[in-house]
Amino acid sequence: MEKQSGSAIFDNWRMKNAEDHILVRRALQADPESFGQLCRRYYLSLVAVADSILLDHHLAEDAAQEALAHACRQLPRLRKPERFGPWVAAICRNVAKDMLRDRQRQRFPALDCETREADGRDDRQMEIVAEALQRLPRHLREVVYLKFYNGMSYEQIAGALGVTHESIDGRLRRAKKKIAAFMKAKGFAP
Amino acid sequence: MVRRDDIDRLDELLANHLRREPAAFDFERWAQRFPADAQLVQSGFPQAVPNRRTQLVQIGRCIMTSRYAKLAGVAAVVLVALSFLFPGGNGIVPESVAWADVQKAMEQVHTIRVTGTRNCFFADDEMPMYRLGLEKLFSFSRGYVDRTFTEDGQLVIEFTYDLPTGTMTVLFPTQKKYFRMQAPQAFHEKTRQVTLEEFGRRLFLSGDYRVIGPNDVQGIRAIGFEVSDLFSRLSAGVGAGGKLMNFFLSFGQSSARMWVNPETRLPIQLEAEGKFNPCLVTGFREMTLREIDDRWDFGVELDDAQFLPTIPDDYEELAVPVALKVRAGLYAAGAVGPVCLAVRRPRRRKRTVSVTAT
Repeated sequence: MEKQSGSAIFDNWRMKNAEDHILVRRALQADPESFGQLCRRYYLSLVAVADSILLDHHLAEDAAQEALAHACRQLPRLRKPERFGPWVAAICRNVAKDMLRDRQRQRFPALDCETREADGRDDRQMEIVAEALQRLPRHLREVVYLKFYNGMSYEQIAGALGVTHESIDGRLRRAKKKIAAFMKAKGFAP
Repeated sequence: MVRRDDIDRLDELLANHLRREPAAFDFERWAQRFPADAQLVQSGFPQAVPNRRTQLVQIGRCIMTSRYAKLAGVAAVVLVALSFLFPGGNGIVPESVAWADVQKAMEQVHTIRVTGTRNCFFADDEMPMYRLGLEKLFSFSRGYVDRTFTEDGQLVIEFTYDLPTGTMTVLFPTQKKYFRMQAPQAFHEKTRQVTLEEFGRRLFLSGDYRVIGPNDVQGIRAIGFEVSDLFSRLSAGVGAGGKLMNFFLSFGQSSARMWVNPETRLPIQLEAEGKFNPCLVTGFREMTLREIDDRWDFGVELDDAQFLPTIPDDYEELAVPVALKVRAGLYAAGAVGPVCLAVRRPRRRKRTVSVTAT
């Protein structure tokens, strides 16, 4: 991971927020391109956030798109346009939770496991990793997914979640510790 | 402690497990899937209008994610449900009570004092021949007392049943006579086992009963429990009957209605009506007895001595034919006690009529 100085991170973060602010303002003035840019900017993080809840990549994509539709409808009510990223992530989290609830109500089997098996990557160790991830608290799992899903940088994750670099670092460390402990308990060294 | 190389391997594992091909956002496809929303972006947003459904969803989500909000939500739902289930001016006091609720409430009671009136009518009379007052005392551990008074308050008959010894005593103060006998062992044991729960089972659960009301009884919106074959239910477990007994005292149709306060689940009034077929006791005429027990005091202090009263010296023992004595004793031993607490008891009717008639 490329290391950046604190001030550089802060500058980037401010710049990104300012960009978001401008894009939201433009989108509100009937500029589809600006909204499209916002969507592209956060789509990957939204899919990761949704996947950390749904544990299903395809459903996660649906959830992310649904979240963007919600965000579009609610855009005039966004009080801080510079916080578009965390705001749409919160919407996505709620959409994913609703979908998960619907899925549990319909008693669908865990699709994620089937997908993994189809990919041929699901050996015993991967099963343990998957189980360890499922046992993580949701906020920790979310950061793990954001970090490893598409190799996002801390800056991108911070932009998506609206939290500090240190907070992300701390959550990741706690998550990894828990995963390592779980794997060890199951007889697998990480 | 997790080592650094372990962490690196874990990173690798997680990356292998979670890494996906970057999914690019396709605005065109998204616009096709959500045309109304895409239209908003293209044509501009109207004035923000609160979305009622979204608000409700947000409220629901807030309730489901906060422990306190969840508890408060559950409490609110319970209260709303109660107000739907028990509408009316009684707040959350139910307007409907099941007999099981009454049984449960009565199990907590150890002593009861009941007062009321008892009137006897003969078939061809409009007015009751006897207007009597009554007092019943009941103790689960000691037994049963039943006192019958004339209209001017004079005690005319006192019936007691001492549960520990199985001694049954009938005093006739106006006649200065008494009758005392020991209940046969089997019946004594039987009555010792009779509890209020058993009484309820025998009275209301041994056959159909009707829930009536709520009606205004003594200013309370009371729920009633009504049975129409009272005597046959109560006597079924006692084994009373037979030609000799019927010659002496013969029962006809009978019914009882117990009114219960839905708040306390305890009885507040018992109304019973029974017919007697022509027999020796009624002078071979049809007779109707109506009883209303309208005051129930629960958990009162009772003097143990009154369950086995001392016979005054000037009292003369009442001579009863041996055969009748045995039958009557058998009957009384089973019929009195807890079972007869709240209902009209044939034996007392017999005594009341026969004594007052003499």
